[in-house]
Amino acid sequence: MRNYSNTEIINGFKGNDTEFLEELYRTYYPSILKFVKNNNGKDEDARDVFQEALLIIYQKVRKNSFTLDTTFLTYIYAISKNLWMKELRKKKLSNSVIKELDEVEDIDYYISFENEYKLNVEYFIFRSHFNKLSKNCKEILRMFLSKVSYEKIACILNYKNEIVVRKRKYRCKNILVERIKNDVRYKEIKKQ
Amino acid sequence: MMKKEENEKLMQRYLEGKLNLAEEKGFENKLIDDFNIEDEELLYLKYQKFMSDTELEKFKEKLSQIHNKHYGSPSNILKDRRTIYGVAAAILILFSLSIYVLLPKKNNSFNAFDEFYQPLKDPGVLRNINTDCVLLGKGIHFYNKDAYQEAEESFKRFLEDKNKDCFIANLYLALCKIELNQLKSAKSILNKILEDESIFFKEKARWYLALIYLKDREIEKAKRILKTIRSNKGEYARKANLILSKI
Repeated sequence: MRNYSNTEIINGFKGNDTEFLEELYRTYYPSILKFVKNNNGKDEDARDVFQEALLIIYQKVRKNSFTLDTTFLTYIYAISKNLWMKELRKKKLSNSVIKELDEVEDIDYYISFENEYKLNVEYFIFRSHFNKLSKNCKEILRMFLSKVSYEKIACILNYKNEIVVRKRKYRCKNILVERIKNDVRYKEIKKQ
Repeated sequence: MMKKEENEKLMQRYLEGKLNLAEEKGFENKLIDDFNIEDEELLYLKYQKFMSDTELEKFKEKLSQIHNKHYGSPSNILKDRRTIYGVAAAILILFSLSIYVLLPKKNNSFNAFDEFYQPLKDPGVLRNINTDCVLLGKGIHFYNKDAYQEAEESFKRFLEDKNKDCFIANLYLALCKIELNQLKSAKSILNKILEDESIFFKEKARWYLALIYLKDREIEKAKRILKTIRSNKGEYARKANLILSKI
């Protein structure tokens, strides 16, 4: 199994390098798949856990908090294992003894990733609620965030005037905020 | 208390996602403690931060693509069921061959463009034309009167006047180009509409682009778009399905 250096990982993730990510995926996914399947999981669970772990690492790299002080397998295994245990707790299956992977150098290696995890969960909650808004709301908010003036939004979307756009934007914003506030997943991560 | 300028800079960096996690948390706490910002406002700020950041979503999409490319169909299941799939494939081939031999051939002279093309008469979301958009209104007026040259001129001027991203005007400009038989320009404008993040007029743009491709005998490109239209189940889905069954 190829050993990646700290710099290789950082550059690969920062550059969103497809070739690098494919190689990384093909190298490490089989181990995580084996681990999840050995511990009451299915192929889809393994895929979700592995991708979640990569997203966490991506976030760490972006926020300059990534340091690889072990092999990448140990690192990604530590995150994946914790994510899968979290999932098992949710499914109330956490009582069974975890079957570790033989090929991992240090099965007790610990890496903190709660903040990145929360940030990612929040990110996808916000984006999924945005996607569920009406076509008009999405477009008004999208343009507003792109700093298009109210006047221009009125012109482009053919609203009577900018006051109508302001009212619409206010309503759309409130709908979005309310839906996020009431999202069970959001309440859950706020509690943590 | 921080100075106004510093706060603005910090807010900008927060919204651009340039703060690290500890700084982000600190800034959010400061907003609540020092500025008595409401929960809702903080949520909306977070929303602004997340929406301007498309990188994470793109990264996730890339991971899914990689996964599908390499692990799309579980190989172990395939191995176990190789024989069943082999038999099924043979039956399918025989079935397809018999259909090919027995059914009448598709009409090669079918001209989808002539059969399905109609100028756009109802732009859908347009209400009364905004007074700030006189040129746009003029353009639509000319287009509806079949005065495509004049309409094209109005849309062009409207788009030059700091409105280059206006979807309605771009769509209408492309439609004028079709009427004026400037298909290459029409294609390029419609493709640009489809590349944009906006969700407005995409289905109309797809429909007219597919028709142009059909007219230009770019059948594969047309098929790809028509399949998207069909799966979107929107206003042109039925027509797209009809064309797909004939080409």
